[in-house]
Amino acid sequence: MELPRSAGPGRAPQPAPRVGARRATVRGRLSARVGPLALALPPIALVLVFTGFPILIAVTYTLGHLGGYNSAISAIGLHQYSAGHRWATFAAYRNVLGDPDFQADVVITIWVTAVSTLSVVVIAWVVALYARFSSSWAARLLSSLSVVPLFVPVVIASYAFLTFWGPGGFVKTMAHAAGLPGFPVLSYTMDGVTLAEIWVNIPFAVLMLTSGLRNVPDSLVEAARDAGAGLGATVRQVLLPLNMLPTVIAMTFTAISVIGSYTVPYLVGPSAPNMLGVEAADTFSAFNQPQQGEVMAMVLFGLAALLAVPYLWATWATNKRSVR
Amino acid sequence: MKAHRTRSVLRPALLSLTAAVTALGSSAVTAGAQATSTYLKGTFTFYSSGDVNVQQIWESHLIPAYEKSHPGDNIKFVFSQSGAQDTADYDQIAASVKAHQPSPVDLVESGAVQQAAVANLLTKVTSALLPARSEIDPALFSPVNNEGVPLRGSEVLLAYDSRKVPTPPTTLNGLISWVQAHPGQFSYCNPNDGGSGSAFVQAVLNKFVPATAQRAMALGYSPADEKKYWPQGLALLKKLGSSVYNKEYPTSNTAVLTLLGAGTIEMGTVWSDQALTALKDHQLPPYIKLTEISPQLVGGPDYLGVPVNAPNKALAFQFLNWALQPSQQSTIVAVMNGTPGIEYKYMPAKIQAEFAHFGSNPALGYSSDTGNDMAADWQRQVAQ
Repeated sequence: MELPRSAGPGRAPQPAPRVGARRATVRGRLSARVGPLALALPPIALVLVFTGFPILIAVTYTLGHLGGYNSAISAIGLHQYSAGHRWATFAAYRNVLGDPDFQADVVITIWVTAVSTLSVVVIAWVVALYARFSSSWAARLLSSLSVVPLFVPVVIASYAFLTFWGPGGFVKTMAHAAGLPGFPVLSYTMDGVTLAEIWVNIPFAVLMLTSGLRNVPDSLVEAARDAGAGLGATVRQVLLPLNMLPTVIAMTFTAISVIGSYTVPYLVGPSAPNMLGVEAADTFSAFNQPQQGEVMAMVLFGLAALLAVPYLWATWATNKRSVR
Repeated sequence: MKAHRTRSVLRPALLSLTAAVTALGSSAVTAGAQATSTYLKGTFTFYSSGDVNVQQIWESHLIPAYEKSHPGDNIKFVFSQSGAQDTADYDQIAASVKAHQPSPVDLVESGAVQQAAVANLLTKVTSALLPARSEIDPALFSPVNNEGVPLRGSEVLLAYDSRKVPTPPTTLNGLISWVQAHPGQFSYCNPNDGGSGSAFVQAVLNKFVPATAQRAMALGYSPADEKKYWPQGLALLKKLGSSVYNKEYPTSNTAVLTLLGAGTIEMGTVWSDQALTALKDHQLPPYIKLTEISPQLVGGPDYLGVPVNAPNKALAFQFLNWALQPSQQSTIVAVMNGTPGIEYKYMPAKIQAEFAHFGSNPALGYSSDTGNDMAADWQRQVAQ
């Protein structure tokens, strides 16, 4: 490589710096591209090795490849389907998807996810709005209280929920004392699971939306008020459009966390039908049918991927707008 | 058998604290204190699974005592809760034997031991390896192909509220008719979550299974027999579902004890050791009584095994031999209220008297594979 030689100390010939500068920019551009990639590489490699690769192996196992790297698990599992010499068999998928009990589990999982996600977002919006417009101690207390579930481990919360709503629990006892013997028991029901899921997921949505609403400048809200907009109109026409992204993020993350949850439905839910996380884990270990268990995991994975679509769309749209 | 043992019933933290302190003290003494002794020194790996009381007996009592009396010996203890790892334990042993690699574990206590023994994955127990073998009832070695060591036992019993049920059923058929005649007063836990529940499910299924097929299902795996004999039992269990408490199944062994203690139900199936501990600790009121029904529910010894390819076999057997000595066996009986692994005549007279009425001939639990299928079929056909 030709490097410009300086004619003397402190005095460089005219064209030389230009060449050097151009090289520097090229090198700068290259390092601007390579630098971040190099930074991101270790985590990407980590994800590929510890998550991506096992998922690939699991996919081949569900498609009936029982030999090679799957031979240890397939030596133990019961009721497996082998692809033999074909490239794949969908027999395990047919076995699982055709099972009416599994279909009932899918329906109940989607139902619980939809109901709890919607409830969480509505509750979080109400709490966030209250915190945005009121500076009273009650508003502050409410918004701090709504974050408390974040600090209670899910296992503890589930057991607390069970004893509180159980057949010998506080609610039932009070109802009985008040002359309401027919008061419903929520332990071991899907209604109980839905309530507990809402409780567990409220903090994240509240944090997301309170900070989103706080970022809307007072001037915008006041301008809307000056123009004669009431609270409803201000929320609908100013706050909601400006907070679509936090709302979509809160919804997506709540839905994904609910759909894949295990502890809450395992402890609070009924024996059957129950959510897919519990069903997949039982099938994998208690029934020792790892292939069917992994097929269920694939179904869960597919559902979660679908849920991520609105999030990706919203972030993409927002990025495009901010670039413009 | 999926040995989801006895979730206890919380032995005082104080006790474990004392034991932990003793254990700490002992490691300080280690350095060559017993230079003259003849025992082997080293470290071996021990996988165990079960409920909290199983974890307690090892972590707070036996292991610290062993490490104290055997300076230079260490046990790497790995515990998994409630039998969740049974299948994984079996997988690890089977895979390492298949790959001609040394086993990652030297000693296993798990629901998988019985199955591993039948598959010849464990070391044959000889008197040379285990001198205390002579004190164990020889009949106990046959279900495990001479490859497992019974260290302690328990069985599933019928617990009942003696104030409300003065004459409890004495047979399985009697129990079934009682349950149907008293809707909402009987409970058994989900068989996926506790052995006391799967014992009841197995007993009802076995009503319709001939004795030879029962034995085949306990010692091995025969899906054809399952298909042939189980449907009647599953249908009966489904029918009983409308009479069990809350039409639901509690998710652990202890949940049934809680219901009994609170007076919510009048009868349920429970583990003997767990119920006795709860009675002694006054977590169950004294009017809760235990009884055997005929045919007897699942029970018997809890087996430990040493994989054929374990790298530290001699150390593991040395530990087992120590744990079978009467003083350690007495600790197990006192702490867990289980039955001893060695014959009663080698135990102190007081313990002999206490267990005089106990455990004549409990049923053999299904093998791991059969148990897996039973859990799956129950989930599909009874719980739904």
